[in-house]
Amino acid sequence: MLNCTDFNDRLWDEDCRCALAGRGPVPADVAVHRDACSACHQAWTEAADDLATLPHLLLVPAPAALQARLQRGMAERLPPSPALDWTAGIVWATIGAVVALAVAGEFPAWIAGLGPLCLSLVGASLAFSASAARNALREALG
Amino acid sequence: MAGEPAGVPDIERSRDRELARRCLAGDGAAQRELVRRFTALVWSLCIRAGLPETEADDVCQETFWRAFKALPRFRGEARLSTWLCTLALRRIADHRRSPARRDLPAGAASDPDFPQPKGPPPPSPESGAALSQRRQRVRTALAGLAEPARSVLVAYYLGEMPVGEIARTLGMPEGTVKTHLHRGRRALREGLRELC
Repeated sequence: MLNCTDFNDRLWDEDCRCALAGRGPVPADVAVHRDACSACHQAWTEAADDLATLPHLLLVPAPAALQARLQRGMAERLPPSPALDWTAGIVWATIGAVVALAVAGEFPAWIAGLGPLCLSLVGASLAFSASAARNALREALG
Repeated sequence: MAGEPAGVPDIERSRDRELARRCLAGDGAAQRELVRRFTALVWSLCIRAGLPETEADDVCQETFWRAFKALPRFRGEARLSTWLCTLALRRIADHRRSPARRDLPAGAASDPDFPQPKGPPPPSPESGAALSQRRQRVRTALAGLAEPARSVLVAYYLGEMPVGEIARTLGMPEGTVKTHLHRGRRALREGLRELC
């Protein structure tokens, strides 16, 4: 069972914050002590009141000029998505495959004989390499 | 218990994840929404931590630039507000340690030698006189607290950061964070009570 000191410490924990804000149940250990101690019952009420009012009182409206600068800066500064762009990948792979097929005549017969699938893989590899190099270059140039 | 933002509805976190994903995909509306939702939060952290407006402006921008850069690594384990507050608190702490600030006054605003601010910021149009007066009381009470108590209080109430996260970010034990919260809340309540 909690004593008064423990109870006042528990008020800052996240399960209590949720309960104080009406977003979750009151934890059992806290409820037992709160219902048995009038001082802690009062502390609970005050904590709920503070949680409801203090955020509004602490908030300072940001200057409009700052917000506008951030809006502009965000579009410029966001890095490209790390997710693989499959549409671009397929386009590049197709281009790579066509190039690979075009130059296949220059390769020895045993390579050309591996078939279009193998050449497509070579093309895709070339395409992804080109794409990676382009991204690395863009990153280096800032 | 205090480390994880327990009880935060999953829907809020998944909404934050979705917002981050859309921002990264180049969705202009999502990018505007992110800035609109969180500028006041980061700005308030800077101002309530006692930074003058020009420095708060710099720190606020730097926080957002770092956030934009780190957005691909945002996994949504915490809410965006908590994540941004963590970045802002680190930036504020770094800024205080920076050589450019070494000539600036340190300590609590209640110290006799500490320069006083020129005056309260103009109230926003939507706030009434009573709200403005309460804000002013809170501001005065907050100014009477020394760092890191101010940052702890603001991070908890405004940034909705869990005690464990505040402790990790500011490099102090959770018990110390709770002590700052106890004292700070009492000071704010007393400041507001004088108003009644």
